[in-house]
Amino acid sequence: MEILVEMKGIYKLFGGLCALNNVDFHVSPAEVIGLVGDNAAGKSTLMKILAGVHPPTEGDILVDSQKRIFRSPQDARNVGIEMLFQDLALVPELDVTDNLFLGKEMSKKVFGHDMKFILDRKTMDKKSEKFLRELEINIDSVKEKVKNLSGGQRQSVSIARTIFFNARLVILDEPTSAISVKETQRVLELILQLKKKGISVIIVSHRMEDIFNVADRIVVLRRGKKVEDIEKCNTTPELIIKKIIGVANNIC
Amino acid sequence: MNRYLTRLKLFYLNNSIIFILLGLSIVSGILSNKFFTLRNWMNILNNFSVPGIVSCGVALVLLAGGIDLSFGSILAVCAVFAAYLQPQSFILAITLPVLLGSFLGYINGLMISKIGANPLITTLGTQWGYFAVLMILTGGNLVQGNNKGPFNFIGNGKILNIPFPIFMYLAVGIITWFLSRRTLFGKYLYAHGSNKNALFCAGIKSSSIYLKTFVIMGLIVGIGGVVMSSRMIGVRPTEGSRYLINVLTAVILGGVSLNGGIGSILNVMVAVLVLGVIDNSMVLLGVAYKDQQIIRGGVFIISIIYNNYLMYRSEVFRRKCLALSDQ
Repeated sequence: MEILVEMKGIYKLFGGLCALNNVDFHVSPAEVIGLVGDNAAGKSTLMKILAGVHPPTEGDILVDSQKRIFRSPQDARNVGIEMLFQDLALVPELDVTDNLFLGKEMSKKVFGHDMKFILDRKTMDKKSEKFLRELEINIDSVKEKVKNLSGGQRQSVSIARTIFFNARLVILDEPTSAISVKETQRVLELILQLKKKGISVIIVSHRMEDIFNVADRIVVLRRGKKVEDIEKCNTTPELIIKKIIGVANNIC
Repeated sequence: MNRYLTRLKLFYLNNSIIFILLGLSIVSGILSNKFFTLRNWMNILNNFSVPGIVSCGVALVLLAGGIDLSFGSILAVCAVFAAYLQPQSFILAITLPVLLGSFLGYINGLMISKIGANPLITTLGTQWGYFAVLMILTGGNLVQGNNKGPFNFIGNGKILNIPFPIFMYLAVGIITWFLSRRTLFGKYLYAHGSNKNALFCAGIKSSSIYLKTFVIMGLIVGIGGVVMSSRMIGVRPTEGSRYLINVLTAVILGGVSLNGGIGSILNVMVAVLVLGVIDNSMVLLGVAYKDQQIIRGGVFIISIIYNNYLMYRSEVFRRKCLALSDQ
């Protein structure tokens, strides 16, 4: 199976604290991975390294078998890796269209001349509507300010934006933790839509039911080390939980 | 029907200043029969053209999530500079003060956006700094131009019997509004005030946007200085502090959030008009000057309370709508 992204021998030290201890991690195209572990297991840290927020203390990241060094999230984005942060990197006071096009705005053409700084809101609105409809995201109006959307709708807009930005790998940090049951279902469906489009997804989550709903493979971190990396069909929630809390093996 | 009522309520919450203007105008009209005359309204707009221009610039900085208290000093510096240049060259007198204003704004912006200094304290400091330099250069004296030549037209000329400063104010206002609402820069400006982290995650240089905002404010204040200088025969270096309270009141009353990201230049312009109406009524009713100051102070405090109240009610309304839509 070809590999999209590979992390080899990742160590991360914060002062004297060893957050990640020789972690290997890989993702294939159109694969959904559930990354689980207890608090302070190192999940967020590993993902932040992958997304270019932190540099690893030691270890390599390979994208398409080529070694890469990420100095900022923009470097990661340039190779198609997008991470959705806690505040979803959305601007609450701007509307859905503005947020979808943030960084990739379309400018108005007056008499065939490109007025680079004037926004072409009409065209962007139409494209946003079409795009959201394709993804079956239910939002009444793209001119609604993002702050007026529910948590699930905001997640959906945030995820939709990554597709817009031609991401190849999307990292979701606890995407379903703060939203309602009905909306959780929609977000999970959206994740499967991403997979259908050939985009890989890493979900960091505490919720076993969500992980087992969408993931192809499950990776467990415990106290900075990888303790499990297994296909979903070869395991059960109970076994995973045991690995998370370290009952089955006494690794410290 | 429900949706129509919702949108109506939303419009009211976002633009209640218009209703305040209407209400105050009606009251003023009842209290004085001179109020609803063309001449009177020309007076109102003319007198508040300079604070109106300055308010547009200050509002931009607030929308971007910053604050700039040095606008009064920048205004005085530019006005004095314009008065000084006016006898020598018309072209220089209308361009150099604007450039100087931009430069002073740039200094503010450099410290705040690139070094990360606290905007409130920094601009409080530059307010004193710019004023101090001005006092040294002028010796505290009036700087007089002469009222000959085309420069005089800016402050005292009329087109179609409408004073020219009003055209300047409307032009600055509309251009500023267009910049903030219809351009890429304006979008990033609002985004910076609302969640500058989002700009970083989208790969946009937010400090650059922030810096440019301060420069633009300085430019706008510079324009105000040129207009102000032309309206008066001589400019005292202390002239800038006169506008402090009116500009700040107008921006806050105009619904601009002190945290950034919320507000509209058009509403600020309406708020300027409201203050103009209040000022005008006080004069028409013969209110003593010291009482006028007290009332201005009172209006300022009321504006802050009103601004907070608006934000609170908007938030309550937002949550209610969210809760309803979940059903």
